[in-house]
Amino acid sequence: MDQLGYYLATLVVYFFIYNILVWGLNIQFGVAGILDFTYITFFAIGAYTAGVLTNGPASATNQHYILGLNWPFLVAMCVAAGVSALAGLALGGVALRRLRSDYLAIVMVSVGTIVFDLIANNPNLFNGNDGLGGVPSPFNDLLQLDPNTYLYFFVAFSAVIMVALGLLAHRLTSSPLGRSMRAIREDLEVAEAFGKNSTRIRLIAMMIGCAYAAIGGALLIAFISAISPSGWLPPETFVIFAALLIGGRANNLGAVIGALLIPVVFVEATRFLPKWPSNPELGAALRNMAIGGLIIVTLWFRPQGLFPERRWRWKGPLLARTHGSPDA
Amino acid sequence: MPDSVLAIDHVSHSFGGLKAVDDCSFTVERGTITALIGPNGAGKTTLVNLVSGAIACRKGSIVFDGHAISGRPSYQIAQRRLIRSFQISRELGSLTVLENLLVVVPDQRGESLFNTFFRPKIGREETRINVAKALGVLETFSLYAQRDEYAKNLSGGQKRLLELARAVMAKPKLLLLDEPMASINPALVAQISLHLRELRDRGITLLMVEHNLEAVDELCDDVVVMAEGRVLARGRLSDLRRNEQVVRAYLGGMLVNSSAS
Repeated sequence: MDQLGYYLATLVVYFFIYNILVWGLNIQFGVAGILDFTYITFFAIGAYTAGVLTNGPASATNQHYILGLNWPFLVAMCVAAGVSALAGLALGGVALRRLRSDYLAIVMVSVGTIVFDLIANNPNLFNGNDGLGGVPSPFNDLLQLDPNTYLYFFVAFSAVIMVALGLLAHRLTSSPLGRSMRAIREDLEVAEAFGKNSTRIRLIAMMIGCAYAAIGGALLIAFISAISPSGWLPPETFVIFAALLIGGRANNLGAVIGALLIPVVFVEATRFLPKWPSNPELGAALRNMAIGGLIIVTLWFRPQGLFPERRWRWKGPLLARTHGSPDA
Repeated sequence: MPDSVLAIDHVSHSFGGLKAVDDCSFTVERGTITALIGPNGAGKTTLVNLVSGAIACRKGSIVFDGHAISGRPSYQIAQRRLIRSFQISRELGSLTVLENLLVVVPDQRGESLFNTFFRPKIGREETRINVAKALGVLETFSLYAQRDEYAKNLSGGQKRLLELARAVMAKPKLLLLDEPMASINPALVAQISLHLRELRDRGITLLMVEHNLEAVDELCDDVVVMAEGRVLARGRLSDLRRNEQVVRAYLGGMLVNSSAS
């Protein structure tokens, strides 16, 4: 098989996964206005949960991890989404109840750092810094495909999940619930003054976003069959924020463009550029600087992003003006 | 027999050492327009915040429509249909004017998580009905042409109208208005007065903080005067103008003006 096809198929899967991640963050930040600065943690929770559920017992490998239940991937993915949503509920239950957005962001970052250190430095949980590996490819025990063909299967498989999640995200953002989330984002006190339980609604947004992050994580670990702490460093959250800000907040299409532009083109595609032998870290550093610069330029010149939030317009019947227009 | 929809009983609230509301008690009768007047710093807005739950009421009791609401969170009080407006217009800026009305409709089934994801038709149907109502309200408040405009782009006067239209859309039993006529032109004052009287005629009780005494005189059945966190007097404005305490605390020059005219 030609290398280019292999490479492109890999990029497409990354694109689909990032799409899901950006949609999830869009629900939290774009729609509900929650500054989830530890979004990547929920991605990791999803990846690790799916990993230890689909892997066999740790004793059969020379890794250390909990569970190891040999579950089918789809079940594991759903459980991963649930676990992550519950983690989001726990964090949100503490942080969203009382804290304003700036303090909330600080709490998020702190919790993310704690979870990161816990997972990286505790080898018995998810094999610590070495990372969790040997995760089986979904359905391949039935399909028995060779790696190249399986890649194309995975493209289709992740596409199905992505489309389903995209549809659900669209349903949310175009629903009365989505409108209430936006109202809370605009002015929490006003929303409360009109009977919205803002804590409850923000927790819902938090949990849905965390579930999206976890599904993205589950897909990633199933795709590359391993994840280690270096794959979800805290700054990764900002790559996803960058995609959302540049693509356009509260616009599901903008999220797609952002996912294509930032994580896929900037991060994944440039990974394969030739490296400077004298300074192997230079490429990654330049990439992060470029992303940071792009965020600044976007916020300065086009704060609404490439595809701004769509204005909701009523397309149904208007007033039948039978008795003439009233005088003002 | 008077039928009070709101009973405020020995309510106090302090900010640090400052007693903003000090042992305040009064009732609001159903179907009336009651004004709450008093000098700046009298505690009127604090009282509005206490009643609406924006500030938790810890001392004293507030009973609304037979339910003790003191200390309840504001969304629960609003769900009982005690709706407030804000002294400075607080429109939901990046929602359209029409959306500002749609979002406040109480008890929307389309807001449930299950319906959102698996029965979106319910939300759409509900929206269709609510839009029809909202368009009517917007027409009444002369905002029909602006329905698809972002609320943040409205003029100051239009924002005051939107504030009122939105409150109406929330189907209130009691409407707490914090200076609905602040910083608007005389023509608009007349228009808003008209709307308020219409709301009263529809059975909605209104309690309004207002400094525009001309409008208060014209509109309000009952006036409560606050000063230094306490209720100083209560009655019709014409009687209050003869109350020496009230004149000293608040009316002052205005009394001279209106008796001269």
